[in-house]
Amino acid sequence: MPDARHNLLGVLLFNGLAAGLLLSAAPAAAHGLELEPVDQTRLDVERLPPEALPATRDMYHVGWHMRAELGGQGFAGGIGRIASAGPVAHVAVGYELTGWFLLALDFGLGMHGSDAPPPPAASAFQTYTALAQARFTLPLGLRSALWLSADGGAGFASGDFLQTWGFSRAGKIGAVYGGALGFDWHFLNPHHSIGLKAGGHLYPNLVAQNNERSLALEGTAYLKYVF
Amino acid sequence: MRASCRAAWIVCALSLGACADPQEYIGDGKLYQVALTPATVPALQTEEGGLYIVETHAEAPIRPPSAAELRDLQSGVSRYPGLPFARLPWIEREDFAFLVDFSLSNLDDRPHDIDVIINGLNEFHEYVPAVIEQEEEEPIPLHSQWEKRYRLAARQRISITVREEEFDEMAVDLATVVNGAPSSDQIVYFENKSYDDPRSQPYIPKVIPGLIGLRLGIRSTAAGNVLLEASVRLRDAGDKLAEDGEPRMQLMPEPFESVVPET
Repeated sequence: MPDARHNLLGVLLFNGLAAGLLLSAAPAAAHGLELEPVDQTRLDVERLPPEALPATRDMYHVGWHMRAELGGQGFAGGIGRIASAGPVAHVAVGYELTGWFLLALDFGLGMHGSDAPPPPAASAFQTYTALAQARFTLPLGLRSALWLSADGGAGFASGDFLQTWGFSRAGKIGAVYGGALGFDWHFLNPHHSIGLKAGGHLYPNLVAQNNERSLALEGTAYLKYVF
Repeated sequence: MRASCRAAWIVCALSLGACADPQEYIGDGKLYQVALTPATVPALQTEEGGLYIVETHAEAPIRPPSAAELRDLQSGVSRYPGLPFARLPWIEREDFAFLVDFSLSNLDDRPHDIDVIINGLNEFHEYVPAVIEQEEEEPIPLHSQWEKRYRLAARQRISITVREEEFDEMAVDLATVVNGAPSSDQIVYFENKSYDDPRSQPYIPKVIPGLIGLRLGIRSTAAGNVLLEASVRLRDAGDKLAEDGEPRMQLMPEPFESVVPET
Protein backbone atom coordinates (compact mmCIF):
# COMPACT_ATOMS: atom_id res chain seq x y z
CA MET A 1 0.00 0.00 0.00
CA PRO A 2 2.73 2.53 0.76
CA ASP A 3 4.38 1.63 -2.61
CA ALA A 4 1.18 2.57 -4.50
CA ARG A 5 1.13 5.96 -2.72
CA HIS A 6 4.74 6.64 -3.71
CA ASN A 7 4.06 5.83 -7.37
CA LEU A 8 1.11 8.17 -7.49
CA LEU A 9 3.14 10.99 -5.95
CA GLY A 10 5.91 10.51 -8.55
CA VAL A 11 3.51 10.68 -11.47
CA LEU A 12 1.94 13.87 -10.16
CA LEU A 13 5.36 15.50 -9.68
CA PHE A 14 6.53 14.63 -13.22
CA ASN A 15 3.35 15.95 -14.79
CA GLY A 16 3.70 19.19 -12.85
CA LEU A 17 7.26 19.79 -14.07
CA ALA A 18 6.32 19.13 -17.70
CA ALA A 19 3.47 21.56 -17.53
CA GLY A 20 5.74 24.24 -16.06
CA LEU A 21 8.27 23.86 -18.90
CA LEU A 22 5.61 24.16 -21.57
CA LEU A 23 4.25 27.30 -19.97
CA SER A 24 7.67 28.96 -19.78
CA ALA A 25 8.38 28.33 -23.51
CA ALA A 26 5.06 29.55 -24.65
CA PRO A 27 5.86 33.34 -24.86
CA ALA A 28 8.92 32.84 -27.22
CA ALA A 29 6.98 30.56 -29.43
CA ALA A 30 4.12 32.97 -29.45
CA HIS A 31 6.32 35.95 -30.60
CA GLY A 32 8.71 34.09 -32.98
CA LEU A 33 12.46 33.24 -32.36
CA GLU A 34 14.81 36.16 -31.54
CA LEU A 35 18.36 34.75 -31.33
CA GLU A 36 20.96 36.67 -29.43
CA PRO A 37 23.73 37.98 -31.80
CA VAL A 38 27.25 36.61 -31.41
CA ASP A 39 29.35 38.77 -29.13
CA GLN A 40 32.82 38.86 -30.69
CA THR A 41 34.36 40.25 -27.53
CA ARG A 42 33.57 37.26 -25.39
CA LEU A 43 35.73 34.19 -25.03
CA ASP A 44 33.10 31.60 -24.57
CA VAL A 45 34.53 28.25 -25.40
CA GLU A 46 31.56 27.43 -27.60
CA ARG A 47 32.40 30.33 -29.85
CA LEU A 48 36.12 29.70 -30.42
CA PRO A 49 37.10 28.95 -34.00
CA PRO A 50 36.93 25.22 -34.70
CA GLU A 51 40.65 25.08 -35.72
CA ALA A 52 43.53 25.99 -33.37
CA LEU A 53 45.88 28.78 -34.38
CA PRO A 54 48.80 27.47 -36.49
CA ALA A 55 52.11 27.52 -34.57
CA THR A 56 54.92 29.57 -36.10
CA ARG A 57 58.51 30.32 -35.11
CA ASP A 58 57.36 33.82 -34.26
CA MET A 59 55.79 32.37 -31.12
CA TYR A 60 59.17 31.33 -29.74
CA HIS A 61 60.74 33.69 -27.26
CA VAL A 62 63.58 35.89 -28.43
CA GLY A 63 65.99 37.72 -26.12
CA TRP A 64 68.29 36.73 -23.30
CA HIS A 65 69.18 33.08 -23.26
CA MET A 66 71.48 30.51 -21.68
CA ARG A 67 73.02 27.44 -23.24
CA ALA A 68 74.75 24.42 -21.72
CA GLU A 69 76.79 22.03 -23.86
CA LEU A 70 78.49 18.71 -23.26
CA GLY A 71 80.51 16.69 -25.74
CA GLY A 72 83.96 15.67 -26.83
CA GLN A 73 87.00 17.51 -28.12
CA GLY A 74 90.19 16.45 -29.82
CA PHE A 75 93.09 18.26 -31.44
CA ALA A 76 94.44 17.98 -34.94
CA GLY A 77 98.10 18.91 -35.37
CA GLY A 78 100.19 20.50 -32.63
CA ILE A 79 99.21 19.11 -29.26
CA GLY A 80 96.97 16.62 -31.04
CA ARG A 81 100.10 14.53 -31.54
CA ILE A 82 100.57 14.04 -27.79
CA ALA A 83 97.08 14.57 -26.35
CA SER A 84 94.08 12.29 -26.52
CA ALA A 85 90.50 13.39 -27.08
CA GLY A 86 88.50 14.23 -24.00
CA PRO A 87 85.25 15.67 -22.70
CA VAL A 88 84.37 19.31 -23.24
CA ALA A 89 81.70 21.46 -21.63
CA HIS A 90 80.44 24.95 -22.41
CA VAL A 91 78.19 27.45 -20.71
CA ALA A 92 77.02 30.40 -22.77
CA VAL A 93 74.97 33.49 -22.08
CA GLY A 94 73.70 35.68 -24.88
CA TYR A 95 71.05 37.84 -26.41
CA GLU A 96 69.00 37.08 -29.50
CA LEU A 97 68.56 40.30 -31.39
CA THR A 98 66.20 38.62 -33.85
CA GLY A 99 65.05 35.12 -34.54
CA TRP A 100 67.97 34.65 -36.91
CA PHE A 101 70.86 36.43 -35.19
CA LEU A 102 72.27 36.29 -31.71
CA LEU A 103 75.37 37.32 -29.80
CA ALA A 104 76.73 35.24 -26.94
CA LEU A 105 79.64 34.85 -24.57
CA ASP A 106 80.77 31.22 -24.30
CA PHE A 107 82.98 29.74 -21.56
CA GLY A 108 84.50 26.34 -22.35
CA LEU A 109 86.44 23.70 -20.45
CA GLY A 110 88.13 20.75 -22.14
CA MET A 111 89.95 17.93 -20.36
CA HIS A 112 92.61 15.87 -22.07
CA GLY A 113 94.95 13.07 -21.17
CA SER A 114 98.32 12.60 -22.78
CA ASP A 115 99.23 9.67 -24.93
CA ALA A 116 102.82 10.67 -25.57
CA PRO A 117 105.77 8.47 -24.74
CA PRO A 118 107.40 9.44 -21.43
CA PRO A 119 109.10 11.39 -20.07
CA PRO A 120 107.20 12.96 -18.53
CA ALA A 121 104.81 10.23 -17.50
CA ALA A 122 101.24 10.33 -18.76
CA SER A 123 99.39 13.30 -17.41
CA ALA A 124 96.33 15.45 -18.03
CA PHE A 125 95.66 19.09 -18.78
CA GLN A 126 92.69 21.34 -19.32
CA THR A 127 91.88 23.95 -21.93
CA TYR A 128 89.93 27.03 -20.88
CA THR A 129 88.28 29.35 -23.38
CA ALA A 130 86.18 32.50 -23.30
CA LEU A 131 84.72 33.25 -26.72
CA ALA A 132 82.42 35.87 -28.16
CA GLN A 133 80.00 34.34 -30.67
CA ALA A 134 77.96 35.79 -33.51
CA ARG A 135 75.42 33.23 -34.67
CA PHE A 136 73.25 33.24 -37.74
CA THR A 137 70.22 30.95 -37.87
CA LEU A 138 68.49 29.54 -40.93
CA PRO A 139 65.06 28.08 -40.11
CA LEU A 140 64.25 24.85 -41.89
CA GLY A 141 60.74 24.54 -40.53
CA LEU A 142 58.65 25.13 -37.48
CA ARG A 143 60.93 23.22 -35.16
CA SER A 144 64.27 22.76 -36.88
CA ALA A 145 66.95 25.21 -37.89
CA LEU A 146 70.57 25.25 -38.96
CA TRP A 147 72.97 27.79 -37.57
CA LEU A 148 76.47 28.97 -38.19
CA SER A 149 78.60 30.90 -35.72
CA ALA A 150 81.82 32.85 -35.86
CA ASP A 151 83.76 32.66 -32.60
CA GLY A 152 86.69 34.64 -31.28
CA GLY A 153 88.27 35.15 -27.90
CA ALA A 154 91.02 33.86 -25.66
CA GLY A 155 92.12 30.65 -24.03
CA PHE A 156 94.98 28.76 -22.46
CA ALA A 157 96.01 25.29 -21.34
CA SER A 158 96.56 24.54 -17.68
CA GLY A 159 99.72 23.33 -15.99
CA ASP A 160 103.14 22.98 -17.52
CA PHE A 161 102.93 19.50 -18.99
CA LEU A 162 102.73 20.80 -22.56
CA GLN A 163 105.82 22.94 -22.04
CA THR A 164 107.90 19.81 -21.55
CA TRP A 165 106.95 18.93 -25.11
CA GLY A 166 108.05 22.28 -26.46
CA PHE A 167 104.71 24.10 -26.39
CA SER A 168 106.36 26.92 -24.50
CA ARG A 169 103.41 29.34 -24.71
CA ALA A 170 100.77 26.83 -23.67
CA GLY A 171 100.29 28.25 -20.18
CA LYS A 172 99.88 31.81 -21.38
CA ILE A 173 96.58 33.32 -22.41
CA GLY A 174 96.35 33.59 -26.18
CA ALA A 175 93.88 34.11 -28.97
CA VAL A 176 91.40 31.42 -29.94
CA TYR A 177 89.18 31.70 -32.97
CA GLY A 178 87.08 29.56 -35.26
CA GLY A 179 83.50 28.66 -35.92
CA ALA A 180 80.77 26.13 -35.48
CA LEU A 181 77.86 24.64 -37.34
CA GLY A 182 74.78 23.42 -35.54
CA PHE A 183 71.35 21.89 -35.82
CA ASP A 184 68.66 23.24 -33.51
CA TRP A 185 65.42 21.47 -32.61
CA HIS A 186 62.85 23.62 -30.83
CA PHE A 187 60.30 22.16 -28.47
CA LEU A 188 56.67 23.25 -28.87
CA ASN A 189 57.34 25.60 -26.06
CA PRO A 190 58.50 29.19 -26.36
CA HIS A 191 61.62 28.70 -24.20
CA HIS A 192 63.44 25.45 -24.86
CA SER A 193 65.45 23.98 -27.67
CA ILE A 194 68.10 21.29 -27.98
CA GLY A 195 70.71 20.78 -30.63
CA LEU A 196 73.95 19.40 -31.91
CA LYS A 197 77.09 21.37 -32.65
CA ALA A 198 80.32 20.67 -34.54
CA GLY A 199 83.06 23.22 -34.23
CA GLY A 200 86.67 23.93 -34.98
CA HIS A 201 88.89 26.44 -33.19
CA LEU A 202 92.49 27.36 -33.78
CA TYR A 203 94.82 27.87 -30.80
CA PRO A 204 97.81 29.87 -32.13
CA ASN A 205 99.35 29.74 -28.64
CA LEU A 206 99.56 25.96 -28.72
CA VAL A 207 102.22 26.02 -31.39
CA ALA A 208 104.83 23.30 -31.61
CA GLN A 209 108.53 23.86 -32.04
CA ASN A 210 108.11 23.10 -35.74
CA ASN A 211 105.44 25.85 -35.90
CA GLU A 212 102.61 23.37 -36.26
CA ARG A 213 99.47 24.85 -34.75
CA SER A 214 96.75 23.11 -32.81
CA LEU A 215 93.20 22.91 -34.17
CA ALA A 216 90.55 21.84 -31.68
CA LEU A 217 87.67 19.86 -33.17
CA GLU A 218 84.62 19.35 -31.04
CA GLY A 219 81.16 17.88 -31.17
CA THR A 220 78.59 18.69 -28.51
CA ALA A 221 74.93 18.37 -27.64
CA TYR A 222 73.28 21.36 -26.04
CA LEU A 223 70.21 22.58 -24.22
CA LYS A 224 69.14 26.17 -24.71
CA TYR A 225 66.70 28.23 -22.69
CA VAL A 226 65.38 31.59 -23.84
CA PHE A 227 63.96 33.74 -21.06
CA MET B 1 82.85 1.25 9.83
CA ARG B 2 83.99 4.32 11.72
CA ALA B 3 87.61 3.51 10.83
CA SER B 4 86.80 3.17 7.14
CA CYS B 5 84.95 6.51 7.22
CA ARG B 6 87.92 8.12 8.91
CA ALA B 7 90.23 6.60 6.30
CA ALA B 8 88.01 7.97 3.55
CA TRP B 9 88.16 11.44 5.12
CA ILE B 10 91.92 11.22 5.37
CA VAL B 11 92.17 10.20 1.70
CA CYS B 12 89.92 13.12 0.74
CA ALA B 13 91.97 15.54 2.83
CA LEU B 14 95.21 14.28 1.31
CA SER B 15 93.72 14.54 -2.16
CA LEU B 16 92.68 18.12 -1.50
CA GLY B 17 96.12 18.81 -0.12
CA ALA B 18 97.69 17.40 -3.25
CA CYS B 19 95.45 19.62 -5.34
CA ALA B 20 96.55 22.62 -3.30
CA ASP B 21 100.20 21.97 -4.17
CA PRO B 22 100.28 21.20 -7.87
CA GLN B 23 103.45 19.78 -9.30
CA GLU B 24 105.61 21.89 -11.56
CA TYR B 25 108.21 20.77 -14.05
CA ILE B 26 111.55 22.41 -13.40
CA GLY B 27 114.33 23.26 -15.80
CA ASP B 28 114.56 25.71 -18.66
CA GLY B 29 113.57 23.20 -21.30
CA LYS B 30 111.54 21.15 -18.79
CA LEU B 31 113.46 18.11 -20.01
CA TYR B 32 116.90 16.80 -19.14
CA GLN B 33 118.93 14.64 -21.47
CA VAL B 34 122.24 12.87 -21.15
CA ALA B 35 123.71 10.47 -23.64
CA LEU B 36 126.45 7.91 -23.73
CA THR B 37 128.12 7.82 -27.12
CA PRO B 38 131.19 6.10 -28.56
CA ALA B 39 132.94 9.46 -28.19
CA THR B 40 132.26 9.69 -24.45
CA VAL B 41 135.46 9.90 -22.45
CA PRO B 42 135.53 7.49 -19.49
CA ALA B 43 135.32 9.12 -16.09
CA LEU B 44 137.89 6.62 -14.88
CA GLN B 45 140.14 4.41 -16.97
CA THR B 46 142.34 1.62 -15.65
CA GLU B 47 144.18 -1.14 -17.40
CA GLU B 48 141.33 -3.47 -16.52
CA GLY B 49 138.58 -1.29 -17.92
CA GLY B 50 136.85 2.05 -17.96
CA LEU B 51 133.94 3.57 -16.11
CA TYR B 52 131.67 5.85 -18.08
CA ILE B 53 129.51 8.34 -16.19
CA VAL B 54 127.45 11.10 -17.78
CA GLU B 55 125.33 13.28 -15.52
CA THR B 56 123.36 16.49 -15.41
CA HIS B 57 122.07 18.70 -12.63
CA ALA B 58 118.44 19.58 -12.04
CA GLU B 59 118.03 22.29 -9.44
CA ALA B 60 114.93 24.04 -8.19
CA PRO B 61 114.83 27.83 -8.52
CA ILE B 62 114.48 28.90 -4.90
CA ARG B 63 113.06 32.13 -3.57
CA PRO B 64 115.64 33.57 -1.15
CA PRO B 65 114.71 34.17 2.50
CA SER B 66 114.24 37.72 3.72
CA ALA B 67 116.91 39.22 5.96
CA ALA B 68 114.75 38.56 9.02
CA GLU B 69 114.11 34.96 7.98
CA LEU B 70 117.82 34.44 7.41
CA ARG B 71 118.59 35.82 10.87
CA ASP B 72 116.08 33.40 12.38
CA LEU B 73 117.74 30.51 10.56
CA GLN B 74 121.16 31.56 11.83
CA SER B 75 120.09 32.03 15.42
CA GLY B 76 117.81 28.99 15.46
CA VAL B 77 120.64 26.55 14.89
CA SER B 78 121.70 26.94 18.53
CA ARG B 79 118.54 25.07 19.58
CA TYR B 80 119.93 21.90 17.95
CA PRO B 81 123.49 21.34 19.15
CA GLY B 82 125.66 19.22 16.93
CA LEU B 83 123.92 19.88 13.63
CA PRO B 84 126.29 19.51 10.69
CA PHE B 85 125.10 22.84 9.22
CA ALA B 86 126.07 26.43 10.07
CA ARG B 87 122.41 27.51 10.13
CA LEU B 88 118.99 25.94 9.93
CA PRO B 89 117.98 25.04 6.40
CA TRP B 90 115.72 27.39 4.47
CA ILE B 91 114.34 24.43 2.51
CA GLU B 92 113.01 21.93 5.00
CA ARG B 93 112.23 18.31 4.40
CA GLU B 94 108.50 18.93 3.87
CA ASP B 95 108.92 21.93 1.56
CA PHE B 96 109.79 20.24 -1.72
CA ALA B 97 108.75 16.85 -3.06
CA PHE B 98 110.53 15.69 -6.19
CA LEU B 99 109.33 13.18 -8.74
CA VAL B 100 111.31 12.05 -11.78
CA ASP B 101 110.07 10.33 -14.91
CA PHE B 102 112.79 9.02 -17.16
CA SER B 103 113.16 7.00 -20.31
CA LEU B 104 116.23 5.03 -21.16
CA SER B 105 116.80 4.20 -24.80
CA ASN B 106 119.33 1.85 -26.31
CA LEU B 107 120.03 3.17 -29.78
CA ASP B 108 122.40 0.34 -30.65
CA ASP B 109 121.71 -2.99 -32.27
CA ARG B 110 123.30 -4.82 -29.36
CA PRO B 111 122.30 -5.04 -25.69
CA HIS B 112 123.75 -2.80 -22.97
CA ASP B 113 123.89 -2.95 -19.19
CA ILE B 114 123.24 0.57 -17.96
CA ASP B 115 122.94 1.97 -14.45
CA VAL B 116 120.68 4.94 -13.95
CA ILE B 117 122.02 6.93 -11.01
CA ILE B 118 120.49 9.79 -9.03
CA ASN B 119 122.10 11.70 -6.18
CA GLY B 120 120.59 14.49 -4.15
CA LEU B 121 121.77 17.87 -3.03
CA ASN B 122 120.52 20.11 -0.27
CA GLU B 123 121.52 23.66 0.58
CA PHE B 124 124.72 22.52 2.23
CA HIS B 125 125.88 19.29 0.64
CA GLU B 126 125.81 17.26 -2.55
CA TYR B 127 126.32 13.51 -2.44
CA VAL B 128 129.13 12.19 -4.63
CA PRO B 129 129.69 8.43 -4.65
CA ALA B 130 133.34 7.49 -4.62
CA VAL B 131 134.95 5.00 -6.95
CA ILE B 132 137.23 2.32 -5.56
CA GLU B 133 140.33 1.62 -7.59
CA GLN B 134 142.22 -1.59 -6.92
CA GLU B 135 145.06 -3.16 -8.75
CA GLU B 136 144.16 -5.62 -11.44
CA GLU B 137 140.47 -4.94 -11.04
CA GLU B 138 137.96 -2.82 -12.81
CA PRO B 139 137.02 0.39 -10.96
CA ILE B 140 134.17 -0.22 -8.49
CA PRO B 141 131.70 2.66 -8.14
CA LEU B 142 130.06 2.99 -4.74
CA HIS B 143 126.31 3.23 -4.54
CA SER B 144 124.46 6.28 -5.62
CA GLN B 145 121.53 7.44 -3.53
CA TRP B 146 119.19 5.95 -6.10
CA GLU B 147 120.45 3.55 -8.70
CA LYS B 148 119.16 0.67 -10.71
CA ARG B 149 120.73 -1.45 -13.40
CA TYR B 150 118.81 -2.12 -16.60
CA ARG B 151 119.68 -4.63 -19.28
CA LEU B 152 118.48 -3.01 -22.47
CA ALA B 153 117.94 -5.19 -25.49
CA ALA B 154 118.84 -3.82 -28.90
CA ARG B 155 116.75 -0.73 -29.70
CA GLN B 156 114.81 -1.10 -26.48
CA ARG B 157 113.29 1.84 -24.64
CA ILE B 158 112.00 1.72 -21.08
CA SER B 159 110.23 4.29 -18.91
CA ILE B 160 110.46 4.51 -15.13
CA THR B 161 109.16 6.84 -12.42
CA VAL B 162 111.12 7.62 -9.26
CA ARG B 163 108.57 8.54 -6.60
CA GLU B 164 108.43 11.27 -3.97
CA GLU B 165 109.06 8.94 -1.03
CA GLU B 166 112.28 7.73 -2.66
CA PHE B 167 113.54 11.31 -2.81
CA ASP B 168 112.46 11.85 0.79
CA GLU B 169 114.64 8.89 1.78
CA MET B 170 117.48 10.45 -0.18
CA ALA B 171 117.08 13.69 1.81
CA VAL B 172 117.26 11.78 5.10
CA ASP B 173 120.24 9.75 3.90
CA LEU B 174 122.16 12.84 2.80
CA ALA B 175 121.62 14.51 6.18
CA THR B 176 122.65 11.26 7.90
CA VAL B 177 125.89 10.72 6.02
CA VAL B 178 127.12 14.26 6.60
CA ASN B 179 126.26 13.84 10.29
CA GLY B 180 129.06 11.37 10.81
CA ALA B 181 127.64 7.99 9.81
CA PRO B 182 130.68 5.71 9.52
CA SER B 183 129.65 4.02 6.25
CA SER B 184 127.81 6.30 3.90
CA ASP B 185 127.61 3.57 1.28
CA GLN B 186 125.61 1.47 3.71
CA ILE B 187 123.32 4.41 4.52
CA VAL B 188 122.47 5.23 0.91
CA TYR B 189 122.11 1.63 -0.28
CA PHE B 190 118.59 1.42 -1.62
CA GLU B 191 117.48 -1.52 0.51
CA ASN B 192 118.48 0.20 3.76
CA LYS B 193 115.66 2.45 4.90
CA SER B 194 116.32 5.08 7.52
CA TYR B 195 113.06 4.43 9.37
CA ASP B 196 113.96 0.87 10.35
CA ASP B 197 117.73 0.60 10.03
CA PRO B 198 119.39 0.73 13.48
CA ARG B 199 122.74 1.49 11.84
CA SER B 200 121.35 4.72 10.41
CA GLN B 201 119.13 5.98 13.19
CA PRO B 202 121.80 7.21 15.65
CA TYR B 203 123.13 9.53 12.94
CA ILE B 204 119.89 11.00 11.69
CA PRO B 205 120.04 14.66 12.71
CA LYS B 206 117.15 16.43 14.46
CA VAL B 207 116.77 18.76 11.50
CA ILE B 208 116.77 17.35 7.98
CA PRO B 209 117.26 19.76 5.08
CA GLY B 210 115.07 19.17 2.07
CA LEU B 211 116.56 18.41 -1.30
CA ILE B 212 116.93 21.43 -3.55
CA GLY B 213 117.92 19.44 -6.60
CA LEU B 214 119.45 16.31 -7.91
CA ARG B 215 122.12 15.00 -10.21
CA LEU B 216 120.97 12.27 -12.54
CA GLY B 217 122.76 10.31 -15.17
CA ILE B 218 123.86 6.97 -16.53
CA ARG B 219 126.84 4.81 -15.71
CA SER B 220 128.32 1.97 -17.68
CA THR B 221 131.50 0.00 -18.07
CA ALA B 222 131.25 0.13 -21.84
CA ALA B 223 130.62 2.90 -24.32
CA GLY B 224 127.63 2.80 -26.63
CA ASN B 225 124.71 4.81 -27.85
CA VAL B 226 122.36 5.15 -24.91
CA LEU B 227 120.08 8.09 -24.19
CA LEU B 228 118.53 9.12 -20.89
CA GLU B 229 115.66 11.61 -21.02
CA ALA B 230 114.06 12.80 -17.82
CA SER B 231 111.55 15.28 -16.52
CA VAL B 232 111.67 16.51 -12.95
CA ARG B 233 108.47 17.47 -11.18
CA LEU B 234 108.39 19.39 -7.95
CA ARG B 235 105.57 19.89 -5.45
CA ASP B 236 106.18 23.19 -3.71
CA ALA B 237 104.41 22.62 -0.39
CA GLY B 238 106.45 25.33 1.33
CA ASP B 239 105.81 27.98 -1.33
CA LYS B 240 109.52 28.61 -1.71
CA LEU B 241 109.87 28.20 -5.45
CA ALA B 242 110.91 31.37 -7.27
CA GLU B 243 108.52 32.54 -9.93
CA ASP B 244 109.74 33.69 -13.33
CA GLY B 245 111.57 36.99 -12.92
CA GLU B 246 111.93 36.67 -9.17
CA PRO B 247 115.43 36.68 -7.62
CA ARG B 248 116.84 33.24 -6.94
CA MET B 249 118.81 32.01 -3.98
CA GLN B 250 122.44 31.36 -4.88
CA LEU B 251 123.63 28.14 -3.26
CA MET B 252 126.92 26.28 -3.49
CA PRO B 253 126.45 22.86 -1.90
CA GLU B 254 129.70 21.28 -0.83
CA PRO B 255 130.43 17.90 -2.47
CA PHE B 256 130.35 15.08 0.05
CA GLU B 257 132.17 12.00 -1.18
CA SER B 258 130.97 8.69 0.18
CA VAL B 259 132.93 7.23 3.07
CA VAL B 260 133.68 3.54 3.44
CA PRO B 261 135.23 2.27 6.68
CA GLU B 262 138.62 0.60 6.40
CA THR B 263 138.38 -3.17 6.58
